[in-house]
Amino acid sequence: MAYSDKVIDHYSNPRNVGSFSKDDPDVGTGIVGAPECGDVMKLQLKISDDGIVQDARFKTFGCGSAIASSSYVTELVKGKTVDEVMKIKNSEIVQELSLPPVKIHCSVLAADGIKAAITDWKKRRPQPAEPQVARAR
Amino acid sequence: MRTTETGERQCWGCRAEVETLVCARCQAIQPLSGEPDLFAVLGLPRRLMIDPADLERRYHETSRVVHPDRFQTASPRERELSLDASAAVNRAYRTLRDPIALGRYWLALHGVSLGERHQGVPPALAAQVFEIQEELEALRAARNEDADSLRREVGERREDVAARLARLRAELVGLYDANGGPVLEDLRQRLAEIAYLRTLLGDIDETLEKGAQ
Repeated sequence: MAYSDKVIDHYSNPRNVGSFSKDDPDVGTGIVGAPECGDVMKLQLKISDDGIVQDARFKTFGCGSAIASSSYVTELVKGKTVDEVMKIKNSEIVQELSLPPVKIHCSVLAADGIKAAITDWKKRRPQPAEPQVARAR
Repeated sequence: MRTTETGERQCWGCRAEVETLVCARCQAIQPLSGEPDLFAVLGLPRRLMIDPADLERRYHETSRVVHPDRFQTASPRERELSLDASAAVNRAYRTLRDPIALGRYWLALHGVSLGERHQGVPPALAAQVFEIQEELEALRAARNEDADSLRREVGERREDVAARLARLRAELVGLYDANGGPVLEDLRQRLAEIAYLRTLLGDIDETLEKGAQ
């Protein structure tokens, strides 16, 4: 199967490879795996208090399409709000990378991965303190 | 097995009604459809609960009856039917005797794929597999003493993964005995995890072998 030029570009020159500290309160981590191919992806987002993605990292063990999908998605999310990231569709990745039907699950995995990262960030960030309610006497 | 307009199957040799791979009356081997039902090939009902002794017996019996040696002097058509039937009998036996192959065949029969609707594996499993993949990566890059201790670690991981696979396999077989047959989604989940861990085990073994050379 021939890879598209964009897949080859991301595969041979992946963007944002690496990791952030999982314990950083600004960081959300998503680790996802696809049963058919054995691929596993870790996607991490650094998100500011106002809910904007400042930076992203990934590490993927898998095929060229899985690496390209995760690399592209780390580019795609930068500067987006948390809500915008949650709305990203895997079809955007399929289109950008011209993935063939048998590799669509790679794009699904990448899209699931960033959403898992957002969910993790929401869960781990310090909850805003309960507003103090003045009690009437 | 030719299907008539009324849905009955007729033996091509003697026109008797026939439901099995070999006509009970004239022993003629019946032609198979493109994707023969592997249960029907061995005369078994479509059920996941299979008695291994019964499967063995049917396999040996059917193999003998359709064996190409018996058709050396037969017509070209019969020789071809014998070859097709023998291949199908072997495929049926290999699939039905292995619980994992059987489960995957069962899902396929019901139009379900392992990654149905692109569902990933459970998050905790993905995280464990990621961790092991990182250890494999470190082992591939390591030299000398580092490599020795990493190799031991990976060896221990391999045992864990193999034990987990054995547990999943036992669970799978347990599902086959359920009354009324298992829920497809339960099967799919187990088989997806098994497939995922088998790929990992393959990666572990490949890394350990390469380092040993």
